[in-house]
Amino acid sequence: MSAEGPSGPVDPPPAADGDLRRLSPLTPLARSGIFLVVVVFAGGREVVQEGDLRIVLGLLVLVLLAGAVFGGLSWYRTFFRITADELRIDTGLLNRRSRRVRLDRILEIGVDQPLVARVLGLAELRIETATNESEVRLAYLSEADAHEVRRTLLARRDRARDEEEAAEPSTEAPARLLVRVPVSWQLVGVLLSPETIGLVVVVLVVVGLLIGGIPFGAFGVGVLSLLGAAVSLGRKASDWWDWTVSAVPSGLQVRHGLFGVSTRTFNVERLQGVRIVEPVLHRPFGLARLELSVAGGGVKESDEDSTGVALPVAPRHLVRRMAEDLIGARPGDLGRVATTLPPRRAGWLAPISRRWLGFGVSEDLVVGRSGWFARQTDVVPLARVQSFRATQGPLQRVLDVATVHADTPVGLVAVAGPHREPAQARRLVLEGADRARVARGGLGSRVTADTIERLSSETVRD
Amino acid sequence: MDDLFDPPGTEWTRVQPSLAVMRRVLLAVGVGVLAILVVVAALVVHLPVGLVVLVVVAAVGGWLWWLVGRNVANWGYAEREDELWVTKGAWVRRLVVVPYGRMQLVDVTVGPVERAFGLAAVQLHTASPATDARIPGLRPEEAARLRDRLTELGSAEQSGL
Repeated sequence: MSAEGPSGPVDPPPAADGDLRRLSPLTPLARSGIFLVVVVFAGGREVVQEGDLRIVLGLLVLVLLAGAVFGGLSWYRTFFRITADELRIDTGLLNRRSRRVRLDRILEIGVDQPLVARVLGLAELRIETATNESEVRLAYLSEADAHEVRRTLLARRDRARDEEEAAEPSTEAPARLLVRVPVSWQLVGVLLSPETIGLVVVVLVVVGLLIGGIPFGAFGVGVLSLLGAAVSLGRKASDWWDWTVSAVPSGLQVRHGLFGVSTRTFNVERLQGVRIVEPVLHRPFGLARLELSVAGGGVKESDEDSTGVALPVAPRHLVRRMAEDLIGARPGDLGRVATTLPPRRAGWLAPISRRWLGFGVSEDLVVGRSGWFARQTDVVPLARVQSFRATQGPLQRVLDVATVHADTPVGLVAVAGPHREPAQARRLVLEGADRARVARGGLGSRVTADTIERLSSETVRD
Repeated sequence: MDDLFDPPGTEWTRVQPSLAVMRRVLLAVGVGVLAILVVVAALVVHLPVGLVVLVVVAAVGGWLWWLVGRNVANWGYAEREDELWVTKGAWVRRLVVVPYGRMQLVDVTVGPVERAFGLAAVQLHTASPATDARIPGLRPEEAARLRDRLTELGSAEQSGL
């Protein structure tokens, strides 16, 4: 049972293992408190408009009663229990739900106190695992209980993890510079961008208007779009200014910017996949872009910083090499993954894109290719794939093709092979799952230290 | 070579046929309510148009009735040594393979209607929201057994993100 009321200075004795515990009995009150505010607000407006107080009050009482009954029952039917390796939460009045969270999967536990809860001395625990959709909440506990439960869960999680793996190397090594994007690459990258194409189109339109004898229109269109393109290009140029990539203990650090220097660190340990993009205008120059997808795990602060461009423009071989290093592949592995195209009959479903939809599975990588305008290569280590799927819609059934997916945590990189021969799709799913098991055994955990060691600056600077 | 949606060397464990009964009851209620509304509207506004709408509703309802049967018949799972296999779908057919070590959460849910039919659902969550591994239409004992088994295997095979 939870301790009631405001928290004392002394921690309550921790409950024994596996004990069924309840939330704070003040929970219905705290919840209906929110309710109350809403009701009063809505009711108050009604009163002002209509002036019929009795109906409003009657409704208010009714809603409050219903809320109290529902809240009370819901509290009565909610239990949680912490054992050595899992947290179990049973909830639900009609919809019974029993949820189990493995403690070693907990990423972070937040303690929230909305206003009403603070007044009542309650707190809510927000337990974050790597799933995006199902955040686990325990609301409400007394403040002291909340902190005790949080400590217990985190302590057990750490113990569970320590048993699994040796202590991490935590030596603070200095950042080691890998690449500094020279002005020449940057110039090509910025000038040969979609904005430039837009600009060319605008110039053509303006010339057309001039020839057609509409000088005013031409002037307006010309000035406006020149301005827009200039702003856009200028922003890109200043953003890409002095782009450096360094290796730091936790992963890859990127610094860039002319006016405001922004720094972000990609955590290699949580890297889920890489994407190499080769825009059509950069291809003649052999340039490409490297993007990384890192599992944010729902931890808000790092979410935004975790996924994005690592290298905006660099020679293709360098981008490839860095991608291989990051995902723990040997040099040249990426080129060796055999990808195949969908069969010709899939052209009914993807008439234009069919010829660029490659997909392949190697010993430890899944590779998907797509796009002509911006040719895109998505690479996910098999050790990082969460599940394999095959789907077949009605039209695909008619054409006897199916789509395979290698599911990764939400992020930039998603590898799918649309419109495959069913037999090939079957083989990809089977092989993928089989090899993923092997890859998990081998590669998975020791990626970090090796990887960062491997990010060798001499291969990178040539 | 196996068919794409064949089981992995074993048989699919199918879900309870009463799931189809449950879904058809819900469907019948929904279509029935809709039909009454259409009839009322037709009497008030315009009879022939209403009859056409009624026929369309009935046709769609019939098609869904058939689809529910196919859907439930296609729903199955197989516990392999290292992965859970789930297959489902009639209109869009799906096959999902989830390695046990990838599990983050296992949910067992029982709704009020499901309880009346003695059914429960198990859902597996991995770090990927795309993983679509839900198995409805299990007997509650089977759901509890599956959940315990999955949690146990998940711990044994644990491997981080």
